[in-house]
Amino acid sequence: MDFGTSIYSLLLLGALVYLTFWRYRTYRIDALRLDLFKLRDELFNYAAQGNIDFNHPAYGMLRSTLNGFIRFGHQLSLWQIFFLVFFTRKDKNLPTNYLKRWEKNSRDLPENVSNELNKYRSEMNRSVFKHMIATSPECVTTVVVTIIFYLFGKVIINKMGRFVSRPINRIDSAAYTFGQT
Amino acid sequence: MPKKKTAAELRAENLLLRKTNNAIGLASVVNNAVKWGTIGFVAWCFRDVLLAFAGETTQANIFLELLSDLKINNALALLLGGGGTLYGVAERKIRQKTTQRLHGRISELEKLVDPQRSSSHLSDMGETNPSDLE
Repeated sequence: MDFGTSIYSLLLLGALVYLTFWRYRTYRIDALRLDLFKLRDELFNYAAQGNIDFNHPAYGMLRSTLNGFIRFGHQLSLWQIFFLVFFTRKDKNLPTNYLKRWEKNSRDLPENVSNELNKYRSEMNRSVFKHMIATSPECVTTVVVTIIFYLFGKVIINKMGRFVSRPINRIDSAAYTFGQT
Repeated sequence: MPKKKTAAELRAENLLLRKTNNAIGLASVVNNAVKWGTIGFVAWCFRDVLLAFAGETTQANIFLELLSDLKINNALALLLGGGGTLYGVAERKIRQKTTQRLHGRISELEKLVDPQRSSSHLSDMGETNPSDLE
């Protein structure tokens, strides 16, 4: 057994752990915030072009949700969504149901504007979901899962649409509530 | 003027905030358990390596044999070097995209105040203008 090589291997392992659990995680949070800031800019520009009023409830709701995800992006994780869905499993009809509130707020919008806002909402949820998978220690340490999600995430999330809609509804509600604080 | 929230809406929001904070707390416990568990394992291996070379026997002989294998050592070094390089490249990309995102808005807003605004003529990602490289 070579003492020097063993110690060197352990130091390399320690450095890899630091890279994976600290540096990579910080990078991922910055990447998520950048994606969401860009989306928020596009939403702002869309409103500034006169397509929707800045005071419209749908605009305010989407922007507040984006702000909530940007502000608390560092706390987002797969385990969080799992526990949140579990704790709120009996809360289907509360006023905080995001989807119901969104439908109510966007009811009076023309179809093209409503479609455009829904596009922004889908993109927001895709970015958040991708971030949760990419920062989950269980997925990161099995690098293959993370790579597959990076390459095929959009297709996977589209196919899983109905399956993930309930957790997404819950996490959007939480982000919107936090975004208003 | 934003619509005033009803008592039911405020109670529901309060409940959701409390449940979300509970979920965040529990998730944090799990994520930290995985992170610090891995670090603890590395520290435990370090202890066993030192014990092994002090002449004491340990139960982790298979893992210690792996650690002292040069091929494993080279693979770890390659992973770290490659991973570190990728991290640096990714960080640079984020910085450039942030510059690109802010550049357009700053330029537009400044032109509203000063239409004759001068420019440094860098690219929108903050890189040297190609014509200035000659």
